[in-house]
Amino acid sequence: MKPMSRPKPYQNPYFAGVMLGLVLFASFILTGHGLGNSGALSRIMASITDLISPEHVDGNFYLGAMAGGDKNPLDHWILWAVLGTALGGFASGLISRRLGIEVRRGPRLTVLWRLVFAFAGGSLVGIGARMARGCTSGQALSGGAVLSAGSWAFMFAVFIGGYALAYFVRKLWN
Amino acid sequence: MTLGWKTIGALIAVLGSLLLAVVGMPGNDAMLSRMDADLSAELITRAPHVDPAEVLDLMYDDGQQIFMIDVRTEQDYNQFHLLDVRWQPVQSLDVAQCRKLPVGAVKIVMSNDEAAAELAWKKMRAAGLLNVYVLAGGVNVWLDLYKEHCVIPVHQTPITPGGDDVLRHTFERAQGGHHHASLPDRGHVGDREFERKVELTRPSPAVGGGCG
Amino acid sequence: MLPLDINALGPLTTVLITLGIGFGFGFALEQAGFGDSRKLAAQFYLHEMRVLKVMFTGIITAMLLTFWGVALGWINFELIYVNPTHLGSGILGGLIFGVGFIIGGYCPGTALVAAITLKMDGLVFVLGALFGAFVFAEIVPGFRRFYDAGGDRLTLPDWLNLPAGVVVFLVMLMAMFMFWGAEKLEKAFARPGSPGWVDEGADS
Repeated sequence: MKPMSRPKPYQNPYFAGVMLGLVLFASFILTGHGLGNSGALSRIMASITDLISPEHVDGNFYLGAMAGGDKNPLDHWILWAVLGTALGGFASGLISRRLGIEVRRGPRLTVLWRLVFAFAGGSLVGIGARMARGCTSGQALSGGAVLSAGSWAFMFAVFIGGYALAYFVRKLWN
Repeated sequence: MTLGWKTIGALIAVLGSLLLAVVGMPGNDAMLSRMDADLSAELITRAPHVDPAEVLDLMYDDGQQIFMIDVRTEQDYNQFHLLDVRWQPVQSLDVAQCRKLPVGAVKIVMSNDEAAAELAWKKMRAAGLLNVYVLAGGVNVWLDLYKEHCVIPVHQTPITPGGDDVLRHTFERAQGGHHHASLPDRGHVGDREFERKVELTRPSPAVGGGCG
Repeated sequence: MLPLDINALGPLTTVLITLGIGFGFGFALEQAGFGDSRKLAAQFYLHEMRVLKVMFTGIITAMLLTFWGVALGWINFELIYVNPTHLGSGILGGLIFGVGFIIGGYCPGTALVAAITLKMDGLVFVLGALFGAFVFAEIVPGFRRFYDAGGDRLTLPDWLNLPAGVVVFLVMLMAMFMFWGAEKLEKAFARPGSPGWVDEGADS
């Protein structure tokens, strides 16, 4: 489908931030933990790897912890959280008339190159997130709110990494 | 003068946090008074009291980390104590330091009978610590069971709460943790019939952490 | 006493709660404009500081509510999950993540929201992230010691040796300063259509 016409403007960032903070707080008091996304990436891939080669999974400490032996890597709250996130994002896009097939990219970039960089950037984010045991939702937002020292360190590292490279990849976005 | 939403929000946030800094987090005594009724009720059920045989089993269990905290007087501690206990007299119990113990480790508090240990248990629970238990019968019963070798009739005696928390046993000289009863033989675990009480509570989720 | 004992609630309730929270999260993300890589990347070119504003507002909102809950004795902080501090892997991971973010334009959660609203670059990014997670699992045994180092439950109050309330206040001040700075940067680096662009006085 083509992008919907007359999409509503995005929410005021501070207001959206408060909404986000309330959801996070609700998570803390209802479940005792915060949000999360990147863990699902590892678990999905562990599940696939386990189908192809269970011995390989058992021989790898990281995979083994999630999927070794009888363990089901998909039996973890994060898979439900990610499903909910997708549904919520879809619902918001629907009511704000922001659904539609498109490729968001900088003005100087072709669609193909944008997708190449999306995959490349995604791979680095996947590696970085699992290395840090979390991403912006699991570490920066959730860990940041409870003042975890490691989460704050991660958050600053993300901003430093992004800003350091921004000049060199400016043609991707500007 | 109309204040924009941003300014109002910022003021609420800053003042709210300033007030928080002034009010502070509740101290251990405050939390203890708040929770005393519930904690006392829990103690009456005997759920937090762990049988000596179970403690002995845990001491040998490599798969479960345990910390044993002896809250008696220095004198009693020097006379005899279990192997590898931490000594923290109950009046000066450093709850902040206890907070740094691993969440998934089992903490066993002990006194001569149970009174001081129960108070220490309450303090630790009031500080939010998880997986804290009391040695049922205390050091007195521990020594009843393990000081002499293989006294079978004693092993069948159920543990009765109470007692004045005074060390009943005497030693010719202070042996601290070097007595054979400081770490009795593992085989003694089977000498008693007892109910296993230790069940780990973890802040969810345990392994793998928040973001998987 | 909060948090609720999730184990006592039963599996169905737990799943529903988790789904609900995820729903709220995804909804808020898309509302914030985070389903759009151009908006996310703009953070690093200073003309739209939306990412910083949303993230820090989210953090301080949850932080203030949570620590007030603790101060009032309603929340047992020891039962709240505090991400263990692994400085080496956390910082290195963060740097790699930041580089990937500016190249790809998303993070895992926002890419998911983008993909679900049919943005193809978001979908491809998610595929890349899955690939990255796969690669990580394969290579991590090579540096397990580095990866596993650390792991303490360390909060900023513990580390700074300051009371939690004071740290909350300091973090709040820092956030306010960053918001002020963000508004200034948006004006200084404004370009047509960006929030700091003057001619229509658009409220960012």
